[in-house]
Amino acid sequence: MGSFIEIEALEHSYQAADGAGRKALGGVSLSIGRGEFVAVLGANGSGKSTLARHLNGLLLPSSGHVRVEGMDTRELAERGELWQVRSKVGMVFQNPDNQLIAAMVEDDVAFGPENLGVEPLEIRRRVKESLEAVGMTRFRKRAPHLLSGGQKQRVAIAGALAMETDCLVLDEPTAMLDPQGRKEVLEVVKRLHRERGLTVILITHFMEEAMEAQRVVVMDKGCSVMEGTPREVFARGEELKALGLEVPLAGELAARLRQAGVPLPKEAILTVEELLQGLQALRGKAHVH
Amino acid sequence: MSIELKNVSYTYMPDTPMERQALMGVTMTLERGRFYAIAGHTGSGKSTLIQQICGLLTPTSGEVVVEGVPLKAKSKEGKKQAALAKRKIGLVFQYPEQQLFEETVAADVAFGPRNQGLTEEEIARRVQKALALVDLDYEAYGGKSPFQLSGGQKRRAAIAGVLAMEPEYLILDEPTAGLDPKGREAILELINTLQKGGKGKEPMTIIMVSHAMDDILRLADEMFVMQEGRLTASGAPAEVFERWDVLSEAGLEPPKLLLLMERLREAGLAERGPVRNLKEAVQAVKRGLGKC
Repeated sequence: MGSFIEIEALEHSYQAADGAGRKALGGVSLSIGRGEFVAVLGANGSGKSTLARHLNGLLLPSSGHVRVEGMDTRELAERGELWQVRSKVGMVFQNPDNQLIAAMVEDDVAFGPENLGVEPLEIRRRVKESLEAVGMTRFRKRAPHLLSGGQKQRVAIAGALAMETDCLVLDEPTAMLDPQGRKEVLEVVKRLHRERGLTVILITHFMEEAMEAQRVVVMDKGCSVMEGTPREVFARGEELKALGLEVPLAGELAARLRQAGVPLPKEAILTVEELLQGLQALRGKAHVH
Repeated sequence: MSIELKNVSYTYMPDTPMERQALMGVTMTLERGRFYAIAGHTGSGKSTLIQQICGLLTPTSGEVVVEGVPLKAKSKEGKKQAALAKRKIGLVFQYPEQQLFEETVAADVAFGPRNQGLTEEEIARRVQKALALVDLDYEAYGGKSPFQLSGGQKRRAAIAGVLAMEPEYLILDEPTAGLDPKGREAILELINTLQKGGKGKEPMTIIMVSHAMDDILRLADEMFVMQEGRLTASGAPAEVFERWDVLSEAGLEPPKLLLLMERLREAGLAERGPVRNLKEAVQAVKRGLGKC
């Protein structure tokens, strides 16, 4: 079997206060391979967080299917066996202050395995290893509320690792962090993907973060509207901007230069290097004429 | 007309084991009608600083003077004057939407003015005006629950609550944090419009705490760099951002636009000179190309 998570024609409606349904997902199909790093990009209200909550059964489909290693979340829920998905897919949320509960960092990381009734010695091993993996060993005896935002998010990631999850779903994990914290968290996520082969699904509206993924899925109004490698997706600058998303700065400057009549080559320009090359080629021509 | 901080220091929990000096000898002048930005790493004293400016905290030493009125006053008359002076300053906290609590957007915006004991007529006028300023249609949104709004709309409703107090100085602590690009742009647009004034409106003084260096470069007239409780640099953003040593000391990175321009200049593809936004960047590149 190729895919790790299989999403098929997924629809989700929330019940509004007046009883009317509001459709947050309108038929999303997507498959995510084992060990893949996928970024889901979209403006607020595009349905990306709703999608994330389906990946470990926090929400169940109004129609369609979500299967994790072939297990259908709705069927598992009916049998009261959602824990099977939860042990495979760990979640990290946006607000670093809402997801740590214990008085000490290592107790917080131990919370999940303790609840599953894992042996104490095994718990100790997992806590140690998880904290090492996110570079937080030094802080294991600290109170979580005294940590920075980036450190709190790393502890939250360690909590998911201690459950020995195969997959990490991160729902805008850096939205509330300062630039330093943002960098810390992204580094840890990239390393876990690279070194441990963890499947990563990163929900974000930061273009720079999506650039790090192997594949980018762009959501709008509850549907997946673009999909491809970061290069393929970010080459479609005008469409992204129309969806309220950012494009790389070098690409943006290239687009403005073209508008201002600078005849840059037709190929997509996304990086500083590509912009330099494009402009140098122009200068070369100017010398010839 | 200005707010002046004179050698302001502040210590949290003095004479306890938790004692921590958060501000050390900060002196700055904030003139009417200008756009100021405060940058600094988390824990550098930015939030303590803005609470000093609006009189929520009282300096351990030094003083804050708002348009000639010292905020720390002993006499009864002095205190009265200080209270009136503080009303000229509005503060929008980080994630202000977390403090929305009324049943409707209009009631939430009306909370401040009502607390000031204004007439119902005046309150209604202020609410309509404030919602118009933040581009939330009164008819469409006034009667809605704040919780029915999108993230960006909630934040604008919260800002309207501060604007309804009609401040002359508006302090915003990371007003775009946590918003998507569209929401961020809408908030910055709003702040810029408030500062520009026009259409019979007085220009508002803006004091914005931000981690987004590109926004500071693009919008601010003057910026302050905070590091470990001290003010380590101030001046026009284009000049401050030239001082990479000060920036890296403070744990800040230069704006991405300036990094990009530097690369282009090194390759001889852009003209030297200050660049604040993409429009100016295009001009600098065109002139750079024209020379060869």
